[in-house]
Amino acid sequence: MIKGFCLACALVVASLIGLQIFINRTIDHTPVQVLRTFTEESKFKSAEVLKKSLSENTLVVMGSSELNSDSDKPSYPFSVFNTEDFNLLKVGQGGYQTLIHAGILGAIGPEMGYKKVLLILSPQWFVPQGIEAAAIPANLSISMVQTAMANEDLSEGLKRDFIERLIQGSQGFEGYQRSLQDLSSFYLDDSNDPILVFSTGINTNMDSFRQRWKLAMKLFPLKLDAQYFPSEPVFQKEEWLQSAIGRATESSTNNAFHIDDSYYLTNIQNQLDSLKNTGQDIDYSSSPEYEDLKLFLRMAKEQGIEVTLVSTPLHGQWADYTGFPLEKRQEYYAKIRAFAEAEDVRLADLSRHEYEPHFLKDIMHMGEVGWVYIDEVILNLRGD
Amino acid sequence: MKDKGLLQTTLLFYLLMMAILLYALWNESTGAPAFIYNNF
Repeated sequence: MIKGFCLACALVVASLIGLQIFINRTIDHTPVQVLRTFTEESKFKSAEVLKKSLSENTLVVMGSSELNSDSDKPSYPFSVFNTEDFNLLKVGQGGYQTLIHAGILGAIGPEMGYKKVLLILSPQWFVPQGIEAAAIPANLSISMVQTAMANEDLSEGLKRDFIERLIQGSQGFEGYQRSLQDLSSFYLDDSNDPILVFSTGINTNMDSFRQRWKLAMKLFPLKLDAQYFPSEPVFQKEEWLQSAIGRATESSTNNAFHIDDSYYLTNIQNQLDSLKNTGQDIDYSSSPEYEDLKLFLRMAKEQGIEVTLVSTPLHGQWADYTGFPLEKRQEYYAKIRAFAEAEDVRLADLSRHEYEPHFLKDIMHMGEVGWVYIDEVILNLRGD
Repeated sequence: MKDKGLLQTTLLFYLLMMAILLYALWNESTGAPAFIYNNF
């Protein structure tokens, strides 16, 4: 019996080593150009993978669902800027908000050779209740928080404010809160409790392994083993805008809102009447998101990272239809402008494009025309 | 006969340990559900 157990232990160790080799090989063999633009939860939750995707010429672009995928669109920035001389690291998908990005920036900051980050703000983040509790444990891994806590560039005060905000924001997720509390005790209260030290180490290492394993399982079937080196197209704003408008017009033929046909069919057509005037009570002028944004800026500032915020517009025509008052929308845009000025942070204000057809492809996500303006923002940023 | 018994015991322990380990490694222990963002 004991002999059998020992042999089984040896086999388990060998199997884990084999799994580790499989994970490393799969991730290492994925072209970094693909890894940088890959949209996958486990990538965004692995500090190791994000760090590995960075180079001296990588601008980190953070956002939410608008980043999900527009790779078939010529003006999509992650396709435009993807050379060795200048490229983008995509961080975010639906559910990612400023607090999550603050944690990720805190974790990867020391590895960022190109000390600039672009944060695309979605107006929908600034709801009165702020980020949903479930979005925090689902999108910010414990290993990511641990990497941020271990970052020596960050002050103890900032780490404490950050982890307290995470604990407060993730109410209802006791397991996650316990892990955060352990990290807080370990890194901020200098606890030497051997059980805490052991459990924190095991917990964060297992989480790091888990995220890389999940990513490897997504990458492996894609067989992305060939390196490719795309060249960067020459940006010509007017020409790109005209082409974008042409393509977008062709794909929005069944509605008066210039929304993509498929989105309109799936999400709006059958409930158009019932959606009228449903936005009368929307208000983005007061939200915990503004404080989370301050945390994000502190994370950047303490690491010497220059932030550019992008203020994206709502869909003007749709907002009018749903009764979201113009004054309330203007109030939100003005608040973002005032915030940027008060915090002395660079702002690319695209809010004036509310009524520009195809700036958004649906009622909230960046469209072909919108991406051209984002390309311009990135080019200006690179030129500095 | 003795070898067969050892093989069975080893296999049993191996499968049991791997099942527990892989389950613990794959599943988040934070109590966090998959968060599906409502795009609409």
